[in-house]
Amino acid sequence: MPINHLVKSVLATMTLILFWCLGYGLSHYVALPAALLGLLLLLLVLLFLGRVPKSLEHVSQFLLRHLSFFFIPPLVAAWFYAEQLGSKLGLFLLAIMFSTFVSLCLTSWLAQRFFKQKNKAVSQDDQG
Amino acid sequence: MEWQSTLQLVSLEQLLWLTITLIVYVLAIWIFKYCSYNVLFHPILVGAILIAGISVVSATPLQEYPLFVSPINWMLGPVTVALAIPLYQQIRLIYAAGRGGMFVIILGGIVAPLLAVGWLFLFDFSEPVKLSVLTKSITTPLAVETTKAIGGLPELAAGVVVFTGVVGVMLSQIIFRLTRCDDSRAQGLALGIVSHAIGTARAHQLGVKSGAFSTMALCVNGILTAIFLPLTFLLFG
Repeated sequence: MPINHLVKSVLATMTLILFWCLGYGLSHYVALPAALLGLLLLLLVLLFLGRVPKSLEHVSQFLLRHLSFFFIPPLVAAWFYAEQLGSKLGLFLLAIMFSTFVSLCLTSWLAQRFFKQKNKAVSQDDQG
Repeated sequence: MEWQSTLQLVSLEQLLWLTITLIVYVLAIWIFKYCSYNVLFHPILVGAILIAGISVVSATPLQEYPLFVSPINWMLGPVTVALAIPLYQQIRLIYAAGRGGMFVIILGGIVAPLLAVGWLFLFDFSEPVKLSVLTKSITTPLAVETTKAIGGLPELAAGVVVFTGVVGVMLSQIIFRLTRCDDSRAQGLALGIVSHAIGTARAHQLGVKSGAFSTMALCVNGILTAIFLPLTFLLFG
């Protein structure tokens, strides 16, 4: 039943918008981004429900899979700021590359050590 | 004032550029698929380049483009809220990763922006520019709002986030060999912490397990940064 499916998808989208509005209302009292508050509210409701409604799952999967679409305009806009940096653009990009390299080294190294240790602990538990 | 511009009827030009953006996006996905998901051909990058090309050909000033497609920004809030669903689905992984996993996420979430901002401090960059790299490792919708809250440039921050994601994915293969990281959970965690949604897409290619851990890391790091960064500025700013 495609009509039924469509109605459910629209309802799920409206749920997301509703939670964003709730987050927006709450952001007047709590100094956090409206979308983040909406996200946390929805998470609380899901934890309370104990499951994710199917239509909400489908709609959010679709939206998050196409997240890139929403960032084409900001990236175009970013170009003007990049132009304003002028000769310093190289240094700016280098800062991002350097910090990304170091933090990726650090996190992958630490996480690897940590999970290995955890595996060992689990297998020791199995033996004991 | 703001409400007036919001309520203004959608003009023909707006409709035209929205349609163009949609077509460009579909084309960009197709190119991405055709290039077997090479991160250099990420739909965001290809899409932005195609838009720039079209605006040059049609003699439309590129500065006006973001104004034409402002309705896309309205949807960004609800899309961010949708992150609650993957977070809920992977929430048991927070327990599976345990205290050590959380420690790695928090450490990575602090070190990455501090290194970038530290580098910018060495050279003479303006204050808003410095503030715009603090959200480099969190997913774009959260980064844009958080940067707004702390007084950075949201558009620049969006660019920084995309660049971080692409660089992270490009370097990840070499780095995983360097740090002898072969555990799929660890790889997913690292990609999610540093390279947010772009890294998570890569982690999904590596496997189901690394994809799930990456999703969890992306959500946890994004939420923690979005909470604590404005708070830090509120307390010490």
